[in-house]
Amino acid sequence: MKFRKAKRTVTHNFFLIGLVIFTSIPNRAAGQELTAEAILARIDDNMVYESAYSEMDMIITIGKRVIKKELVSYAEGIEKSFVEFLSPARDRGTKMLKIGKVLKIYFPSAERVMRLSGHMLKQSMMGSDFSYEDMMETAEELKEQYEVKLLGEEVFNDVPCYVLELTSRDESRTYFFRKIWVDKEKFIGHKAEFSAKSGKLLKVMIVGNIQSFQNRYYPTRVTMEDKLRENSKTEMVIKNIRFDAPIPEGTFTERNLMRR
Amino acid sequence: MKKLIKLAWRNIWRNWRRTVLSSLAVAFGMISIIFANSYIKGMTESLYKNLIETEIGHVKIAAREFLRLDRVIPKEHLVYNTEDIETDISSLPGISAMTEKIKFHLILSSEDENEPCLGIGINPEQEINFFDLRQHLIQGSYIQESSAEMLIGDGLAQKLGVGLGDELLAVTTDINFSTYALTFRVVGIFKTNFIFMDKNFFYIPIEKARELLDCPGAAHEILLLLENAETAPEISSEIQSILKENGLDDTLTAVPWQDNFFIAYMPFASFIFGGILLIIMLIAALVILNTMLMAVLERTHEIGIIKSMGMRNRGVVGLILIESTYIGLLGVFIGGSIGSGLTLLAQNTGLDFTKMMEKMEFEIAVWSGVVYPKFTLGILFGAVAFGLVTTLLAAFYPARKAARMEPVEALRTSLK
Repeated sequence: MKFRKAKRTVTHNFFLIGLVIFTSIPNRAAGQELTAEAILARIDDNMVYESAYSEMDMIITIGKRVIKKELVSYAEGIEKSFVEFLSPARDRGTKMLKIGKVLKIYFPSAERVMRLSGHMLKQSMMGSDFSYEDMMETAEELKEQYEVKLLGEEVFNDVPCYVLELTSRDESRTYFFRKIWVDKEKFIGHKAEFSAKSGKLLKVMIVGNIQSFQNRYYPTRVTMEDKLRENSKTEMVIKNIRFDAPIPEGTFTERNLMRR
Repeated sequence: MKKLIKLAWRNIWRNWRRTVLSSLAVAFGMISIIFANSYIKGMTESLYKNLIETEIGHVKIAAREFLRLDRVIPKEHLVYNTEDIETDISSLPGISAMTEKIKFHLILSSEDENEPCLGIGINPEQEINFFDLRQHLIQGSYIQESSAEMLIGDGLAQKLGVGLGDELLAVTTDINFSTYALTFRVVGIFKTNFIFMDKNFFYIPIEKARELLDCPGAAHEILLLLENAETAPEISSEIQSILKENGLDDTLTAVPWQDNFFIAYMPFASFIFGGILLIIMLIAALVILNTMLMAVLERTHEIGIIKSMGMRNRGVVGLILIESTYIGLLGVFIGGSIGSGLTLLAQNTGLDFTKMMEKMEFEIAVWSGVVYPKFTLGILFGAVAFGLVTTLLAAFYPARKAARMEPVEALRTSLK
């Protein structure tokens, strides 16, 4: 099998939610006073990998019901990612290909591809508390779209954090405000709150089980709660992740999407 | 008396312009009332009919949670084993039709467009007894049972850029939170004039809807039509006890149409409509009053003359009232004919507000953009009575005032 050498680039993994889960190279930042912009920049700085392969479980809990889905994900650069669902039976073979701002989903039951863009990306992804958009955002966009302000420092889960408040420059954005708790040492987002312009809390994301991989820390558990759904949360648990691993050529193609 | 009648007849034609003008005021009032009344009647009656045919039936059986959360249409709250329930209740007397439905939000995807919309899974055969979509098809034909065929609203078809024969991908999250998709071929395009429905609804066979949602044998609603709509509360409670016997009482409920939120709200709406009608009547009455007042006061001088010639007060009042009766009858005749004619015309063609209402959000999916006023003889007679009584009342006050004047005074006043 041929492998393609990926370009080294600031990146983010489609299924690892770049906006608050900032991978980090340690020994970079501890200590001195930082401005809000500098913190974001630092985070951005630290999100460096060429590619990633991961196996994970998506666990949706609604009331007493728990639904587990298994999936694998490939990511390369900031632009490309590919996801395939392995279980349950009704989801098996559902695949997603994200290139830039366009997401294509293949449904094996219909043998058809749906192209999602624009406001359709605000829909719940595969029945979870995440929207497609939540999965696709990059730190780059975040910087362009929001004014950032350092609110102060707080201890979250025994970890000293900077608290950042992001305010959208665009009135119509769903998440008008975001509040992010950023680890002062590792520069990992630990918690994020998403609110509407009215101040209504829409979603809460909490990151956990941070592990170190070679030269970086990576959270292997992300929990999202959509506050507009009753008693609902979705956990993404990374069972296995490999950074900068070669990705088979042809992974990010429509052909691969429709492969049976 | 005979003389008075004759005199009155002569009088009203002496100044025929004034007579015609006064009659027209009465006619105007009549036309407004006939039209407004028919309009309100047509609108409310069709709303009842449409709600019952498309949404609620005479009795609806559904999960309590489904009804509680009906604004979001929660697909996971289902009635399971619908066939068993239908068999159990089919022995009840007075049920004339039964059907079941699945309703759920999903995304329809064409080559270029995706639209979130509302899918309705129907039993094509049974649905006809409730809401006959065949009457509303502007293109194509009706769907066949269990086929991968779809009927789509014309507004939705436009948004998606599809026509007859095109395939659409229907994508939804099923009741187990899996994402599932099927393709359907558009076999018919409907235009019901229900603004929301035409822009957001499509119909597919219920078997396919069950496949999409992964809920074999289940439905969101079982709907019944009754031979006598008034018996709905009794039949509902009988069904409720059958559900109880089967241990389904906690989760399922049978609801008579009278309990529907919008229908329960109708008396209040009627009250408001009544108020509007009253205002229209008041305006009509004021126009008539004003015209009659003018017509009588204008003639103060003339009244002074006939009084000085020896006519008594009662005679003067009588004369004016008879004249008014002539004017009233003339107005009622003109207004009744034009009003009924116009209303009947509107009743046949319908008044199309679709364009105006396009941007509005509707709580009721079957709120029609086209209103068909409903004219009845009752409305006509009511308006006739109103026209005559108002005219007479309107004439009475100035007539009395004129009659009570001293002849000399009356003569002088008008000469100023």
